[in-house]
Amino acid sequence: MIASRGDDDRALIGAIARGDRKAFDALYRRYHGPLSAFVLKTTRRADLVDDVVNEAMLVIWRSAARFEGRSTVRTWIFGVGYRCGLNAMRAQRKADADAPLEDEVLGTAGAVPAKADEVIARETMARALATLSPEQRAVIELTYYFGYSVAEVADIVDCPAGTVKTRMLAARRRLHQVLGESGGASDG
Amino acid sequence: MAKDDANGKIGPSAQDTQDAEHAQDAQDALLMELPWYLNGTADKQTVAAIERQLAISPAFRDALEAEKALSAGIAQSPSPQFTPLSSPSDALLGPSRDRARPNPLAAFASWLQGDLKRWLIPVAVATACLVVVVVPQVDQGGFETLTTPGADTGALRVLVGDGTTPETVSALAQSHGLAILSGPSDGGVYTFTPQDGTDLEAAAQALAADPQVEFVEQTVK
Repeated sequence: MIASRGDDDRALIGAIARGDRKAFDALYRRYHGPLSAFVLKTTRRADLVDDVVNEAMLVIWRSAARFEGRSTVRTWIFGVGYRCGLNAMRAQRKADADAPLEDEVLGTAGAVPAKADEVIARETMARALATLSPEQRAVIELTYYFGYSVAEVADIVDCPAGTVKTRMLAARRRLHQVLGESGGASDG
Repeated sequence: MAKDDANGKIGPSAQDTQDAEHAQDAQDALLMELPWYLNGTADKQTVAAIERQLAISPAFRDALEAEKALSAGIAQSPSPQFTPLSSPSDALLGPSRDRARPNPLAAFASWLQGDLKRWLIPVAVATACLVVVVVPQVDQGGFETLTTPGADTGALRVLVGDGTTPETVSALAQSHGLAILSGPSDGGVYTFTPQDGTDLEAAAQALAADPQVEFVEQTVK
Protein backbone atom coordinates (compact mmCIF):
# COMPACT_ATOMS: atom_id res chain seq x y z
CA MET A 1 0.00 0.00 0.00
CA ILE A 2 1.15 3.52 -0.69
CA ALA A 3 1.47 5.73 2.34
CA SER A 4 -0.78 8.73 2.23
CA ARG A 5 1.32 11.77 1.34
CA GLY A 6 -1.41 13.85 -0.23
CA ASP A 7 -0.11 17.33 0.55
CA ASP A 8 3.40 16.45 -0.46
CA ASP A 9 2.14 14.95 -3.70
CA ARG A 10 0.11 18.05 -4.48
CA ALA A 11 3.16 20.22 -3.92
CA LEU A 12 5.12 18.05 -6.32
CA ILE A 13 2.38 18.25 -8.95
CA GLY A 14 2.29 22.04 -8.56
CA ALA A 15 6.04 22.23 -9.06
CA ILE A 16 5.88 19.91 -12.07
CA ALA A 17 3.22 22.16 -13.57
CA ARG A 18 5.79 24.98 -13.38
CA GLY A 19 8.35 22.82 -15.20
CA ASP A 20 10.37 21.71 -12.18
CA ARG A 21 12.35 18.68 -13.32
CA LYS A 22 13.54 17.81 -9.81
CA ALA A 23 9.94 17.55 -8.67
CA PHE A 24 9.28 15.26 -11.62
CA ASP A 25 12.20 13.06 -10.60
CA ALA A 26 10.89 12.92 -7.03
CA LEU A 27 7.37 11.98 -8.12
CA TYR A 28 8.72 9.38 -10.51
CA ARG A 29 10.79 7.74 -7.77
CA ARG A 30 7.83 7.79 -5.39
CA TYR A 31 5.38 6.13 -7.77
CA HIS A 32 7.56 4.04 -10.04
CA GLY A 33 7.29 0.89 -7.90
CA PRO A 34 3.55 0.96 -7.13
CA LEU A 35 2.63 2.02 -10.64
CA SER A 36 4.79 -0.69 -12.20
CA ALA A 37 3.17 -3.29 -9.96
CA PHE A 38 -0.31 -2.06 -10.83
CA VAL A 39 0.39 -2.02 -14.56
CA LEU A 40 1.81 -5.53 -14.39
CA LYS A 41 -1.10 -6.85 -12.38
CA THR A 42 -3.62 -5.27 -14.72
CA THR A 43 -1.99 -6.06 -18.05
CA ARG A 44 -0.07 -9.20 -17.02
CA ARG A 45 2.49 -8.15 -19.61
CA ALA A 46 5.93 -7.72 -18.08
CA ASP A 47 7.26 -6.60 -21.45
CA LEU A 48 4.90 -3.61 -21.46
CA VAL A 49 5.47 -2.34 -17.95
CA ASP A 50 8.44 -0.03 -18.54
CA ASP A 51 6.92 1.56 -21.61
CA VAL A 52 3.53 2.02 -19.98
CA VAL A 53 4.98 3.54 -16.81
CA ASN A 54 7.22 5.89 -18.80
CA GLU A 55 4.30 6.92 -21.00
CA ALA A 56 2.16 7.53 -17.91
CA MET A 57 4.87 9.69 -16.34
CA LEU A 58 5.16 11.72 -19.54
CA VAL A 59 1.39 12.27 -19.53
CA ILE A 60 1.68 13.44 -15.92
CA TRP A 61 4.48 15.86 -16.86
CA ARG A 62 2.44 17.32 -19.71
CA SER A 63 -0.88 17.53 -17.91
CA ALA A 64 0.16 18.44 -14.35
CA ALA A 65 -1.06 21.99 -14.92
CA ARG A 66 -4.54 20.64 -15.64
CA PHE A 67 -4.74 18.57 -12.44
CA GLU A 68 -7.70 20.10 -10.61
CA GLY A 69 -7.40 18.23 -7.34
CA ARG A 70 -10.84 16.64 -7.53
CA SER A 71 -9.21 13.32 -6.68
CA THR A 72 -6.03 12.53 -4.80
CA VAL A 73 -2.76 12.66 -6.72
CA ARG A 74 -2.21 8.94 -6.30
CA THR A 75 -5.60 7.96 -7.73
CA TRP A 76 -4.97 10.38 -10.61
CA ILE A 77 -1.60 8.79 -11.30
CA PHE A 78 -3.02 5.29 -11.12
CA GLY A 79 -5.81 6.38 -13.48
CA VAL A 80 -3.27 7.64 -15.99
CA GLY A 81 -1.34 4.37 -15.64
CA TYR A 82 -4.54 2.35 -16.07
CA ARG A 83 -5.47 4.09 -19.32
CA CYS A 84 -1.93 3.88 -20.66
CA GLY A 85 -1.90 0.17 -19.82
CA LEU A 86 -5.16 -0.52 -21.63
CA ASN A 87 -4.00 1.51 -24.63
CA ALA A 88 -0.75 -0.42 -24.77
CA MET A 89 -2.62 -3.71 -24.67
CA ARG A 90 -4.90 -2.61 -27.47
CA ALA A 91 -1.89 -1.50 -29.47
CA GLN A 92 -0.35 -4.92 -29.05
CA ARG A 93 -3.57 -6.46 -30.37
CA LYS A 94 -3.18 -9.51 -28.23
CA ALA A 95 -5.87 -11.10 -26.15
CA ASP A 96 -5.05 -11.08 -22.50
CA ALA A 97 -5.63 -14.80 -22.32
CA ASP A 98 -2.76 -15.31 -24.77
CA ALA A 99 -0.26 -13.56 -22.53
CA PRO A 100 2.40 -15.91 -21.23
CA LEU A 101 2.35 -16.74 -17.58
CA GLU A 102 6.00 -16.04 -16.93
CA ASP A 103 7.50 -16.37 -13.49
CA GLU A 104 8.30 -12.68 -13.65
CA VAL A 105 4.69 -11.86 -14.42
CA LEU A 106 3.45 -13.94 -11.56
CA GLY A 107 5.84 -12.32 -9.19
CA THR A 108 7.60 -15.52 -8.16
CA ALA A 109 10.98 -14.53 -9.57
CA GLY A 110 13.22 -13.09 -6.92
CA ALA A 111 10.66 -13.64 -4.20
CA VAL A 112 11.46 -15.20 -0.86
CA PRO A 113 11.61 -18.98 -1.31
CA ALA A 114 8.24 -20.40 -0.44
CA LYS A 115 6.91 -23.79 0.43
CA ALA A 116 5.67 -25.92 -2.42
CA ASP A 117 2.04 -25.48 -1.49
CA GLU A 118 2.46 -21.71 -1.36
CA VAL A 119 4.00 -21.70 -4.83
CA ILE A 120 1.15 -23.82 -6.12
CA ALA A 121 -1.39 -21.52 -4.47
CA ARG A 122 0.21 -18.46 -6.06
CA GLU A 123 0.32 -20.03 -9.48
CA THR A 124 -3.26 -21.17 -9.15
CA MET A 125 -4.32 -17.67 -8.18
CA ALA A 126 -2.30 -16.17 -11.03
CA ARG A 127 -3.94 -18.47 -13.55
CA ALA A 128 -7.36 -17.64 -12.17
CA LEU A 129 -6.65 -13.91 -12.44
CA ALA A 130 -5.49 -14.46 -16.00
CA THR A 131 -9.00 -15.54 -16.92
CA LEU A 132 -10.38 -12.08 -16.04
CA SER A 133 -10.53 -9.10 -18.33
CA PRO A 134 -8.01 -6.32 -17.67
CA GLU A 135 -10.86 -4.12 -16.44
CA GLN A 136 -11.97 -6.75 -13.93
CA ARG A 137 -8.40 -7.39 -12.82
CA ALA A 138 -7.85 -3.70 -12.26
CA VAL A 139 -10.84 -3.56 -9.91
CA ILE A 140 -9.75 -6.69 -8.05
CA GLU A 141 -6.12 -5.60 -7.64
CA LEU A 142 -6.94 -2.01 -6.76
CA THR A 143 -9.25 -3.26 -4.02
CA TYR A 144 -7.43 -6.25 -2.59
CA TYR A 145 -3.78 -5.48 -3.33
CA PHE A 146 -3.68 -1.69 -3.17
CA GLY A 147 -6.55 -1.25 -0.70
CA TYR A 148 -8.54 1.45 -2.49
CA SER A 149 -12.14 2.35 -1.67
CA VAL A 150 -15.00 2.01 -4.15
CA ALA A 151 -14.88 5.74 -4.88
CA GLU A 152 -11.13 5.68 -5.48
CA VAL A 153 -11.37 2.69 -7.77
CA ALA A 154 -14.14 4.46 -9.67
CA ASP A 155 -11.88 7.50 -10.04
CA ILE A 156 -8.99 5.44 -11.32
CA VAL A 157 -10.89 3.37 -13.84
CA ASP A 158 -13.09 6.35 -14.69
CA CYS A 159 -16.52 4.79 -14.31
CA PRO A 160 -19.41 4.99 -11.83
CA ALA A 161 -19.15 3.24 -8.45
CA GLY A 162 -22.01 0.95 -9.48
CA THR A 163 -20.00 -0.27 -12.44
CA VAL A 164 -17.04 -0.94 -10.19
CA LYS A 165 -19.22 -3.08 -7.91
CA THR A 166 -20.68 -4.95 -10.87
CA ARG A 167 -17.22 -5.66 -12.29
CA MET A 168 -16.03 -6.76 -8.89
CA LEU A 169 -18.95 -9.14 -8.43
CA ALA A 170 -18.43 -10.68 -11.86
CA ALA A 171 -14.70 -11.03 -11.21
CA ARG A 172 -15.24 -12.63 -7.81
CA ARG A 173 -17.71 -15.13 -9.22
CA ARG A 174 -15.26 -16.03 -11.95
CA LEU A 175 -12.39 -16.41 -9.53
CA HIS A 176 -14.43 -18.54 -7.14
CA GLN A 177 -15.44 -20.72 -10.04
CA VAL A 178 -11.92 -21.20 -11.39
CA LEU A 179 -10.35 -21.65 -7.99
CA GLY A 180 -13.11 -24.05 -6.97
CA GLU A 181 -12.44 -26.16 -10.02
CA SER A 182 -8.73 -26.27 -9.23
CA GLY A 183 -9.19 -26.69 -5.49
CA GLY A 184 -7.65 -23.28 -4.79
CA ALA A 185 -8.26 -20.56 -2.27
CA SER A 186 -12.02 -20.49 -2.39
CA ASP A 187 -14.87 -22.43 -1.01
CA GLY A 188 -17.48 -20.55 -2.96
CA MET B 1 -28.47 -17.91 -0.43
CA ALA B 2 -30.54 -20.16 1.91
CA LYS B 3 -33.19 -18.49 3.97
CA ASP B 4 -33.42 -19.33 7.64
CA ASP B 5 -36.79 -20.84 8.21
CA ALA B 6 -37.50 -20.84 11.93
CA ASN B 7 -41.09 -19.67 12.20
CA GLY B 8 -42.60 -23.18 12.05
CA LYS B 9 -45.25 -22.33 9.49
CA ILE B 10 -46.27 -24.96 6.99
CA GLY B 11 -45.90 -23.41 3.52
CA PRO B 12 -44.97 -19.80 3.00
CA SER B 13 -47.62 -17.12 2.56
CA ALA B 14 -47.36 -14.45 -0.17
CA GLN B 15 -46.17 -12.00 2.43
CA ASP B 16 -43.49 -14.43 3.59
CA THR B 17 -42.34 -14.92 0.02
CA GLN B 18 -42.16 -11.18 -0.53
CA ASP B 19 -40.23 -10.68 2.68
CA ALA B 20 -37.83 -13.40 1.74
CA GLU B 21 -37.19 -11.78 -1.62
CA HIS B 22 -36.50 -8.44 0.04
CA ALA B 23 -34.13 -10.06 2.49
CA GLN B 24 -32.33 -11.81 -0.32
CA ASP B 25 -31.99 -8.55 -2.29
CA ALA B 26 -30.61 -6.81 0.77
CA GLN B 27 -28.12 -9.59 1.33
CA ASP B 28 -27.04 -9.54 -2.32
CA ALA B 29 -26.47 -5.81 -2.07
CA LEU B 30 -24.31 -6.36 0.98
CA LEU B 31 -22.41 -9.15 -0.74
CA MET B 32 -21.31 -6.59 -3.34
CA GLU B 33 -19.82 -4.49 -0.54
CA LEU B 34 -17.81 -7.29 1.07
CA PRO B 35 -14.49 -6.52 -0.72
CA TRP B 36 -14.42 -2.99 0.69
CA TYR B 37 -15.58 -4.21 4.09
CA LEU B 38 -12.57 -6.53 4.06
CA ASN B 39 -10.06 -3.90 2.92
CA GLY B 40 -11.32 -1.49 5.57
CA THR B 41 -12.57 1.29 3.30
CA ALA B 42 -16.35 0.71 3.56
CA ASP B 43 -18.30 3.53 5.18
CA LYS B 44 -19.71 3.15 8.71
CA GLN B 45 -23.27 2.59 7.53
CA THR B 46 -22.22 -0.28 5.28
CA VAL B 47 -20.04 -1.81 7.95
CA ALA B 48 -22.96 -1.74 10.41
CA ALA B 49 -25.31 -3.33 7.87
CA ILE B 50 -22.82 -6.09 7.06
CA GLU B 51 -22.26 -6.87 10.71
CA ARG B 52 -26.02 -7.09 11.34
CA GLN B 53 -26.31 -9.49 8.44
CA LEU B 54 -23.39 -11.58 9.68
CA ALA B 55 -25.14 -11.91 13.02
CA ILE B 56 -28.32 -13.35 11.53
CA SER B 57 -27.22 -15.26 8.40
CA PRO B 58 -24.92 -18.31 8.37
CA ALA B 59 -24.89 -18.18 4.57
CA PHE B 60 -23.60 -14.63 4.68
CA ARG B 61 -20.88 -15.68 7.12
CA ASP B 62 -19.85 -18.42 4.70
CA ALA B 63 -19.71 -15.90 1.88
CA LEU B 64 -17.48 -13.67 3.99
CA GLU B 65 -15.08 -16.54 4.73
CA ALA B 66 -14.83 -17.36 1.05
CA GLU B 67 -14.14 -13.72 0.29
CA LYS B 68 -11.45 -13.56 2.94
CA ALA B 69 -9.63 -16.48 1.39
CA LEU B 70 -9.81 -14.82 -2.03
CA SER B 71 -8.63 -11.43 -0.83
CA ALA B 72 -5.77 -12.97 1.13
CA GLY B 73 -4.59 -14.86 -1.93
CA ILE B 74 -4.55 -11.69 -4.00
CA ALA B 75 -3.16 -9.37 -1.34
CA GLN B 76 -0.30 -11.71 -0.55
CA SER B 77 0.81 -12.18 -4.13
CA PRO B 78 4.28 -10.65 -4.32
CA SER B 79 5.15 -8.02 -6.84
CA PRO B 80 8.50 -8.19 -8.62
CA GLN B 81 10.90 -5.32 -8.21
CA PHE B 82 11.22 -2.92 -11.12
CA THR B 83 14.30 -0.86 -11.68
CA PRO B 84 13.57 2.85 -11.97
CA LEU B 85 15.47 5.11 -14.34
CA SER B 86 18.46 6.72 -12.64
CA SER B 87 17.68 10.13 -14.09
CA PRO B 88 14.02 10.06 -15.16
CA SER B 89 13.73 13.68 -16.25
CA ASP B 90 16.74 13.45 -18.55
CA ALA B 91 15.66 10.07 -19.91
CA LEU B 92 12.01 10.97 -20.50
CA LEU B 93 12.03 14.73 -21.06
CA GLY B 94 15.38 15.14 -22.78
CA PRO B 95 18.48 16.98 -21.53
CA SER B 96 17.92 19.85 -19.17
CA ARG B 97 18.03 23.35 -20.69
CA ASP B 98 20.44 24.32 -17.95
CA ARG B 99 22.89 21.80 -19.23
CA ALA B 100 22.24 22.61 -22.87
CA ARG B 101 22.89 26.29 -22.22
CA PRO B 102 26.10 26.56 -20.16
CA ASN B 103 26.83 29.42 -17.79
CA PRO B 104 28.16 32.35 -19.90
CA LEU B 105 30.90 33.17 -17.37
CA ALA B 106 32.07 29.58 -17.30
CA ALA B 107 32.04 29.47 -21.09
CA PHE B 108 34.12 32.66 -21.32
CA ALA B 109 36.64 31.34 -18.81
CA SER B 110 36.88 28.14 -20.78
CA TRP B 111 37.40 30.13 -23.96
CA LEU B 112 40.16 32.14 -22.32
CA GLN B 113 41.92 28.98 -21.25
CA GLY B 114 41.56 27.11 -24.49
CA ASP B 115 40.47 28.79 -27.68
CA LEU B 116 42.10 32.16 -26.98
CA LYS B 117 45.55 30.58 -26.70
CA ARG B 118 44.99 28.77 -29.97
CA TRP B 119 43.88 31.90 -31.83
CA LEU B 120 45.98 34.53 -30.09
CA ILE B 121 49.08 34.35 -32.33
CA PRO B 122 47.24 34.27 -35.70
CA VAL B 123 44.98 37.13 -34.61
CA ALA B 124 47.96 39.21 -33.43
CA VAL B 125 49.81 38.65 -36.73
CA ALA B 126 46.76 39.58 -38.78
CA THR B 127 46.24 42.75 -36.73
CA ALA B 128 49.87 43.80 -37.23
CA CYS B 129 49.58 43.34 -41.00
CA LEU B 130 46.45 45.48 -41.07
CA VAL B 131 48.22 48.29 -39.22
CA VAL B 132 51.13 48.17 -41.67
CA VAL B 133 48.81 48.41 -44.67
CA VAL B 134 46.27 50.94 -43.37
CA VAL B 135 48.46 53.48 -41.61
CA PRO B 136 50.56 54.54 -44.67
CA GLN B 137 47.37 54.95 -46.68
CA VAL B 138 46.00 57.36 -44.10
CA ASP B 139 49.25 59.31 -44.16
CA GLN B 140 48.88 59.66 -47.92
CA GLY B 141 45.53 61.41 -47.40
CA GLY B 142 43.21 58.57 -48.27
CA PHE B 143 40.35 60.48 -46.67
CA GLU B 144 40.84 63.89 -45.16
CA THR B 145 38.62 66.83 -44.26
CA LEU B 146 39.10 70.55 -44.81
CA THR B 147 40.33 70.87 -41.23
CA THR B 148 42.94 68.14 -41.44
CA PRO B 149 46.34 69.78 -40.83
CA GLY B 150 48.64 69.62 -43.87
CA ALA B 151 45.86 68.54 -46.15
CA ASP B 152 46.88 68.80 -49.74
CA THR B 153 44.31 67.28 -51.98
CA GLY B 154 44.91 69.57 -54.98
CA ALA B 155 41.33 70.59 -55.81
CA LEU B 156 38.13 71.99 -54.35
CA ARG B 157 34.55 71.08 -55.13
CA VAL B 158 32.43 74.20 -54.93
CA LEU B 159 28.66 74.63 -55.05
CA VAL B 160 27.56 78.19 -55.84
CA GLY B 161 24.17 79.80 -55.37
CA ASP B 162 21.39 79.69 -57.97
CA GLY B 163 21.61 82.28 -60.71
CA THR B 164 25.39 82.63 -60.55
CA THR B 165 26.75 82.81 -64.11
CA PRO B 166 29.87 80.94 -65.30
CA GLU B 167 31.62 84.25 -65.68
CA THR B 168 30.92 85.18 -62.08
CA VAL B 169 32.15 81.77 -60.96
CA SER B 170 35.34 82.18 -62.98
CA ALA B 171 35.93 85.56 -61.40
CA LEU B 172 35.26 84.07 -57.96
CA ALA B 173 37.86 81.36 -58.55
CA GLN B 174 40.45 83.79 -59.81
CA SER B 175 39.90 86.10 -56.87
CA HIS B 176 41.03 83.29 -54.57
CA GLY B 177 43.99 82.19 -56.73
CA LEU B 178 42.06 79.29 -58.25
CA ALA B 179 40.98 78.27 -61.75
CA ILE B 180 37.93 76.28 -62.96
CA LEU B 181 39.02 72.75 -63.80
CA SER B 182 35.53 71.45 -64.64
CA GLY B 183 31.89 72.19 -64.11
CA PRO B 184 29.23 72.84 -63.60
CA SER B 185 28.02 69.27 -63.06
CA ASP B 186 24.35 68.32 -63.27
CA GLY B 187 24.16 69.28 -59.60
CA GLY B 188 25.80 72.67 -60.24
CA VAL B 189 29.17 71.75 -58.68
CA TYR B 190 32.46 73.20 -59.98
CA THR B 191 35.95 71.83 -59.45
CA PHE B 192 38.61 74.45 -58.74
CA THR B 193 42.37 73.87 -58.88
CA PRO B 194 44.91 76.11 -57.22
CA GLN B 195 47.12 78.33 -59.30
CA ASP B 196 50.83 78.51 -58.46
CA GLY B 197 51.50 79.42 -54.87
CA THR B 198 47.88 79.32 -53.72
CA ASP B 199 47.29 77.85 -50.29
CA LEU B 200 44.39 75.54 -51.01
CA GLU B 201 43.21 75.36 -47.39
CA ALA B 202 43.19 79.12 -47.03
CA ALA B 203 41.38 79.42 -50.33
CA ALA B 204 38.79 76.91 -49.19
CA GLN B 205 38.16 78.84 -45.98
CA ALA B 206 37.82 82.09 -47.92
CA LEU B 207 35.35 80.50 -50.33
CA ALA B 208 33.33 79.07 -47.51
CA ALA B 209 32.90 82.59 -46.15
CA ASP B 210 31.83 84.01 -49.52
CA PRO B 211 28.05 84.65 -49.67
CA GLN B 212 27.87 83.31 -53.25
CA VAL B 213 29.20 79.92 -52.16
CA GLU B 214 26.95 77.42 -50.54
CA PHE B 215 29.38 74.55 -49.98
CA VAL B 216 33.12 73.82 -50.32
CA GLU B 217 35.09 70.58 -49.92
CA GLN B 218 38.49 69.26 -50.85
CA THR B 219 38.46 66.38 -53.26
CA VAL B 220 40.07 63.06 -52.45
CA LYS B 221 43.39 62.89 -54.15
